[in-house]
Amino acid sequence: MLILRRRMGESVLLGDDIEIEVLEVAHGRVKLGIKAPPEVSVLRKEIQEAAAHNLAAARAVANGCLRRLMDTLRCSPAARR
Amino acid sequence: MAEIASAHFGVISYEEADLLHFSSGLPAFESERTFAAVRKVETAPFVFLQSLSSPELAFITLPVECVAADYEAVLSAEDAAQVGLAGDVGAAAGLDVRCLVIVTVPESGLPTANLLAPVIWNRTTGAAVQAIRPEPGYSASHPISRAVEATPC
Repeated sequence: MLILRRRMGESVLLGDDIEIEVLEVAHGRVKLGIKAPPEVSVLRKEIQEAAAHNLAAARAVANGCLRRLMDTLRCSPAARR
Repeated sequence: MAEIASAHFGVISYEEADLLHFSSGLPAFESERTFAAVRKVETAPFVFLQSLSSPELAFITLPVECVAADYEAVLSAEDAAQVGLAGDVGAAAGLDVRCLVIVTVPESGLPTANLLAPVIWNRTTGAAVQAIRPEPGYSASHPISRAVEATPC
């Protein structure tokens, strides 16, 4: 991983056409300004992770996981007690 | 009373009060704006969220209190505004606000609940949002089987 120190107002360039500028630093948070071509997807990482979890959850339902879920719970050690 | 033929749960009857309106959809399903919350006696306490526009799209969810009794939902200002809350669900006195967590059932292993991205549903207005918590401390793959059996909810 490349690690750089930047101050407010300073930028980092990625390739020829992506610029990330540090706009503000306060209270443990950084405000970034990102200039990128429209075809470049810019996502907060946690949104991408939520999307992946949602896709997995929906796929499991589509594959008929409901019965498996009920069976798992009925067979769980807690259920047998 | 209206009905939708779900691909997974058969014909579902629902009322206006059962609907969740996501003004910007959910991550990965941005165009899905309206879901019906379905509870069945035989599968309680699970709550199914059935898309009204896609019969094949549904999520299995749990009320968060079934999974984590002391769960605190912290919303970003944007998420809070989308469901008409002031930023702290606990402070929303007088409003019927539900917090549902989406369940994933892997091919093998325990089912898990996503505590990092709860669905916040203001039942008073029907507005809902999947609130993404950037703060660590909760798991996106929280094992649920024992918790559900042990918690009356």
